[in-house]
Amino acid sequence: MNPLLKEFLAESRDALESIGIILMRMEKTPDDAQLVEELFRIVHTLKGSSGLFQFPEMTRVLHAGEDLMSVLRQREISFTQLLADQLLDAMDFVALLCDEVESCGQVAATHSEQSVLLAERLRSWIVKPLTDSATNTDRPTASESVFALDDLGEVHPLDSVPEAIRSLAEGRAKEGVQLHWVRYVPDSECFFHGEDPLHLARQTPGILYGRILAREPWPNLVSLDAFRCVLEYQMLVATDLSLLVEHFRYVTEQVRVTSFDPFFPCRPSNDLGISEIHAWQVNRIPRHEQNAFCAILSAQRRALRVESEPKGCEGRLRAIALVLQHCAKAIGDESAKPKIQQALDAALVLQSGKPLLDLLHEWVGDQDLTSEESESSPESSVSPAPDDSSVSGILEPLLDSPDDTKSPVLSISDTQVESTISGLDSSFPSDHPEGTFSKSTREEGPKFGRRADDHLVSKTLKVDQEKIDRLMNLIGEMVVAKNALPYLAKRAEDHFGVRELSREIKAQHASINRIAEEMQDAIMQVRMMPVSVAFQRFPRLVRDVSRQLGKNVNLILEGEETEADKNIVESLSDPLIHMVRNSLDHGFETPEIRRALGKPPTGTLTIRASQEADHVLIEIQDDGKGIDPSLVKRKAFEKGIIDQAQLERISDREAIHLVFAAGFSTAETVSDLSGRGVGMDVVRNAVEKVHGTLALESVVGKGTLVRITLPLSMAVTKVMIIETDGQIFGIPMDVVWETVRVARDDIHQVQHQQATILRGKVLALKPLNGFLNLDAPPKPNQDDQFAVLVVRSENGSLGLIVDNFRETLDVIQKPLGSVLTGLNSYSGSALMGNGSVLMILNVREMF
Amino acid sequence: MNQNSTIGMGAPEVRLKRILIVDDAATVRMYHRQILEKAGYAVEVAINGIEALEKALQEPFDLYMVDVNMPKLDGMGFLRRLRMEDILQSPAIMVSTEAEFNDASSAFASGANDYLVKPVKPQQLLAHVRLLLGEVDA
Amino acid sequence: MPIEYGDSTAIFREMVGVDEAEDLLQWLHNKAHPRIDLSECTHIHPANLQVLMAAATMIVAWPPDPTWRQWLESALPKTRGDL
Repeated sequence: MNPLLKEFLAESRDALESIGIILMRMEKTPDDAQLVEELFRIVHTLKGSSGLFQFPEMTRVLHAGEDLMSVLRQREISFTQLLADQLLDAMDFVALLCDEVESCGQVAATHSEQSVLLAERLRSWIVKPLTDSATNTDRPTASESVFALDDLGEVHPLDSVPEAIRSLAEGRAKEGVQLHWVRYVPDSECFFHGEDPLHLARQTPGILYGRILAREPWPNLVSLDAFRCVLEYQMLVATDLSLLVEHFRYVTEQVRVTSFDPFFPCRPSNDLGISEIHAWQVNRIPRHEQNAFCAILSAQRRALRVESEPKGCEGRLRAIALVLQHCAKAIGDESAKPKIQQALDAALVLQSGKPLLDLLHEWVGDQDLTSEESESSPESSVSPAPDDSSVSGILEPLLDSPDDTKSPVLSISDTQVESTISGLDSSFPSDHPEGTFSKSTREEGPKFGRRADDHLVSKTLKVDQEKIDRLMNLIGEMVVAKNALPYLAKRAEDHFGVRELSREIKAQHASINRIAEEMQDAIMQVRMMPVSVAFQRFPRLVRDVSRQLGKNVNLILEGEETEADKNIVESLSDPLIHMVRNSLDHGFETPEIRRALGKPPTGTLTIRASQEADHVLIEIQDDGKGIDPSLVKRKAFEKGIIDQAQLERISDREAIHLVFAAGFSTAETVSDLSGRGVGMDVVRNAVEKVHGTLALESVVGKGTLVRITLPLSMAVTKVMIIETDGQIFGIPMDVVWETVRVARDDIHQVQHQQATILRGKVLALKPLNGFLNLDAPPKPNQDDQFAVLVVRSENGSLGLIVDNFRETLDVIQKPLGSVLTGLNSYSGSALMGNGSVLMILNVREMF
Repeated sequence: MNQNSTIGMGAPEVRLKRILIVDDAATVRMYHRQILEKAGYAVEVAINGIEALEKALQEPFDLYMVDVNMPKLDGMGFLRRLRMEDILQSPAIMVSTEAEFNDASSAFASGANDYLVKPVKPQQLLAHVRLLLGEVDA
Repeated sequence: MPIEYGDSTAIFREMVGVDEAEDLLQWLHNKAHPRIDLSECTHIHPANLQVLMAAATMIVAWPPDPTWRQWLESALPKTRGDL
């Protein structure tokens, strides 16, 4: 694929995603001006890029979107849900076109109708007469491909217009009337709708010239279908754009309007505009560059005239002088060089563009200079005489007019610019365009300056994740390395008997320790990102899915600013989507049922993120019908997940967790299963992969709450050190619920299982020693109490009897080496400060 | 590309004219870049005014081609800053959409020397660039 | 009748509507050297114009209104000898 197109597709995808996200956020904060600004910018950029290709359907929709964003930005309309809907629809359409372009390299013509519809819908929001913008959409600049680099030989439409009409047009342009080239391509079926395109074309207001072209070669008369319209109409029109739009209002889609170059309305040939600038010997430059030449000169004049702040004045003047020098060079006018330099020097002293402006006027307009130059330069005498004569007639009245400038040509260009602008943008009351300009300049001036300063301070770097991972590994090693210092201190004292040195080492350790901790924290911070990244897709998802299902669901997102490690946040996205989908599908009742049950017809889905100690807690709560444990039990039994005995014994609370069991749900159970269930084991796996846990609460008829607990960071694990049979082990804090002391008398033997009553509930007990195949019995403390570590998993709670609790510790957990990978009892290992290895227990294996 | 870019082996050292394209739209950047590189210019790109300013300050360019609407530091802001630096007085083209053409005066006030409306045709762009750089047909 | 068909010349009068196109096509098809007189014609529905264009018919007389004539001339071969 063409690399430019590839780039465009990638860019559009990014842009579309961002648009979706912003729209969602705007539903919450519709008045956020920054969001609107950003939205506008993205749509605007995307439209601009699409204009480089021949995807009129895409550009049309984007252009409508841009116009809509523009009025939204100016607060002419306010943001509504419906507006967001339609914009999202439009963006989906654009995404569809992108897909199509990617797969077949083009957009099928069949999309045209829909794109018109979508664009119209978007435009219907714009309160202003949509006429102007409607035509803008169809400006050929946007819809004609300009990509091909070989269009250098393009023929200007005016070249084909008879000379007499061209001068007529130029005359009209000088009067300040806008010139347009109109292409009207009627629908091929239009005769059947009673249309007469030729009549419409002939009635075009301000028409100066019209021609009729066949869109395709003529067939043999026998096979000609007289009623299939194959003609197109092209017209040169001098009128206000608004009148044109009004005239073609029923066929806007079939009309393309090119408004002529405001600087030089009639570009072709050397008859007008160019011939004025004999002093510049413009004929020396290639013809196709002559327009550019005039435009650039005209631009310098505007730049010199425009009101601007004194800051940077010198730089602007120098740049302008440089451009003038370059222009002079391009036409081989060496004599101009010192004059420009002189004018620049004067301008710099005065801090004003006037000397340069005077010079420009002198050259461009002064007839005396012209003749003088003609004598000194052989080339200009060659310049054809007819030019002068053909032009003079038109120019005379203007030369007599009390214009503030000596250059009729350039002053016309300016008028032309302003009329274009007033024609294009009806938001500007354009009775005096000049006034509009200077006003906007004043308003924007200081604003831009300030913005620039604001932003220069803050910088964002994009860094490869790999680089951060490397930092992370290094700090991990450093944490371990620095832990060797206390041992060194101890050796210095014990072995070598130098207490002084030992103290110094300890002091050094303290400061290195502090720095290492801060560094670790800083690196962690770099990896942190708000969970909102994972939440972004939900508003759209909830809206789309609930509508599809005919349910009303209001989504509430809380705690989006909560931060967690990048990996965690990213791993969260998919399981969350799964659960939200499930909740919508199975959790919520239809509005009718809800009403019948006395519930509010609109359900509420809350996704809440919060940070608790070193964990991120994500809760997904709905007020739907809840999960019926008896149904789940039966299903689980039928699926063979639980046996008869379990079926009878299992508590309701445990039963609902069966939805997370592998093999519980399959597609065919979806329809008849009340409650959640689709692929919830997938969710569980995803959560466990990042050392998270999952819990479910549900009340039939009231709703369901899923609670996901995730570590803040994957790199550092907080573990509790416990001691048993003289050894120490680590247990991840994310499974540790609490530590209790249980008196020997409170431990009961239930069948083969030890248990105790903790706050009125039975807690199964297991000695850790047994789990680790250690023969020693658990050691009680002097009060004959056992240390019990209550751990939890999705399978419930368990009390682990250990010898003693020790401190908690941040460790950097490493996976077990190859020899040990078979040991399910351990989830990994970590290096301790003294260089010893701490084994981390895999608690899930103990249930 | 740097100042020492040369054309061909053994040819007398020719410094390619350096052009900086400042645009937040990747596709537009690439489009303009293709046109200009094909025509033999040394092109660099920046995605916003800040990046552009940094690049320009590092090594000034012969021409700047600047989009209007960009995040962080937009085209006007960039030009204002550019014109405050003594060494950065090369010509600058403002490139915008038709709608933004309203702002032509602001562009000139900020320090632009030329104004082109997107999408810019290759031939038009090259004509403007050649003239702004004072290049004479061989 | 908006179009008066003669032996080899058809005369278009005033407004020639869409319904004439079929007959016109038939007539042009059957004539070896058809000629068209537009001098009295003020408007032609493009269905007819298409037929004239496809047949590359010789126009023997143009309407007096210069603008209208110029429209037509852009579509129809004008050098095929005015009579």
